[in-house]
Amino acid sequence: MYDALETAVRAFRLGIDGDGNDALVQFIDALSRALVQGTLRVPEAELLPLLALALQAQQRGDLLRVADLLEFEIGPRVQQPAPDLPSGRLPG
Amino acid sequence: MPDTTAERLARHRQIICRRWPHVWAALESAVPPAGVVLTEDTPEPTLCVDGVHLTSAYNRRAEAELQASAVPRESESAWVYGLALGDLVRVLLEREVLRRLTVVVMSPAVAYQSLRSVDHADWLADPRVDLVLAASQTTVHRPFAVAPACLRLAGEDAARLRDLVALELNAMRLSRYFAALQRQYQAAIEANLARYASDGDAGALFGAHQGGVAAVAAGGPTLSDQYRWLAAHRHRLALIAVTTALLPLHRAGFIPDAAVVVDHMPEILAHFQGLDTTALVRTPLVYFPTVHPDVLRWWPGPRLMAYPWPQQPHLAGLAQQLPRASLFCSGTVTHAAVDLAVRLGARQVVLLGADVSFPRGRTHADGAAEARPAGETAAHRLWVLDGHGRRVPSAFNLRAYLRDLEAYIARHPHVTFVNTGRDGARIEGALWLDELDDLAWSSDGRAPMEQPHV
Repeated sequence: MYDALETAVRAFRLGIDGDGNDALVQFIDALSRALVQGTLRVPEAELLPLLALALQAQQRGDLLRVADLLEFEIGPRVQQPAPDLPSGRLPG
Repeated sequence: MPDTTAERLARHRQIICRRWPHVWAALESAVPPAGVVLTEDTPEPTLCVDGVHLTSAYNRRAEAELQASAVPRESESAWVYGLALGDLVRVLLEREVLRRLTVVVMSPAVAYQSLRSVDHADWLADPRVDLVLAASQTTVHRPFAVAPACLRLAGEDAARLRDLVALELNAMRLSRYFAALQRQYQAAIEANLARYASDGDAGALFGAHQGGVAAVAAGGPTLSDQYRWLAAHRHRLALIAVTTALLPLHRAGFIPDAAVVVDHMPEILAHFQGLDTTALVRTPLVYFPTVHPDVLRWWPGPRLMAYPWPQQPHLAGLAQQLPRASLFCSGTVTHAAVDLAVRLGARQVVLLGADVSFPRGRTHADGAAEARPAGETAAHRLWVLDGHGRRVPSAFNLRAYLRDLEAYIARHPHVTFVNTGRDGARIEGALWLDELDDLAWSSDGRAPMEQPHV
């Protein structure tokens, strides 16, 4: 999941929009699975508004804003493993 | 004490007027964007223009370093497309080896707002820097780095350069896309293999309309606008139809002299449902070996094979065993149809429904199998200029097709290309039909096109 996030961030910052959008879709798919499985420490209610902001930014073509939200707001939150996961092991 | 907007702008004006006076004139006269906000509630300030952030608002330096990594460290010269807030330019200028850095203004309006809002004086005064307007640039120079928000906010004058830069940025992605299709291509080749040897060579058509006028009917929404013109001149032009134009033309009563179909996807079959086979028994089908097998099974007329050019690796072996003519194709069947028109020997090629965009919010001509509203997806927020000089919605692949078609036209200066539907994309290098007195019709009254012997 975090690989997809990093790929999206990097691609958006470099202007490779297609790769960025593909990776964003992969990240959201993986994140959705992780939320359903309960493998994230961060509450869904904290993530969803940030995801909504990212998708709104993507819709208006504000892709550096998407990159910022992924890298600095969403990324650090999803990196926190659930209590029963070994430290540093990421779901997805 | 930080300087005021007026002081900052005056300083920038002084430098730019001294070094690049014509650039300042363009910046100063640009129509201001509707929404300009300097964010101050973010970890780092940045400028947001019409809802698009010019840089990261969290770590501009790291972002600029990543963007600068597109330029090899040993490069003595480089190009930057879009100045944004100047971060990328500064990072590149830190390289002592760099002797020349050309910064391309993608939008004078955005650049002016950036010059008003943040300090650019240091890099503007650097003797290694040259500042140019996108409107003066016709090609992408390497090595280059991009401030991507400036591509998104590119002005009308920069539309073509923006697309060329985007094509370069996404070249690897396109290569991966086509590599992923190899299995489907191979399946189509295996299914079609038995037909290749007995089918003809598209080269049989070459020269069949020497010195005449050929019309290429693509499936864009403006195709139907041209039916009256087409009816008036049908008897003296060669009509080539691409896949998506077959049904609309049929419903309007036109039978093409040749059809070009190259797609391998099964969705393409919908374009043949409802066609009258008896009307097409004399119409040759020009196809690529990877076309969907059912197209070849269905086609009632002669079949003529061609290879796509540039040559595709998966067809190299077949081309050695079974040499056939090649037709230019860079992703859309319209390219192949236009190249066929040129290879017929046409002196003038009229483009009908070659909209390469979504005029009137539609994807295809009325009556085409895939005709539908273009929708409001993010991809469709991309635009190109139409024949009125207005923005018309487009998509990344359509912009790529358009720019490759323009490059093809530029490579054929002996042929006059004529565009027709002003609501569709303006195609650089093509004249407008409504600006011409008439076309160079042949005076010998010969048949539109000699039929191939296959």
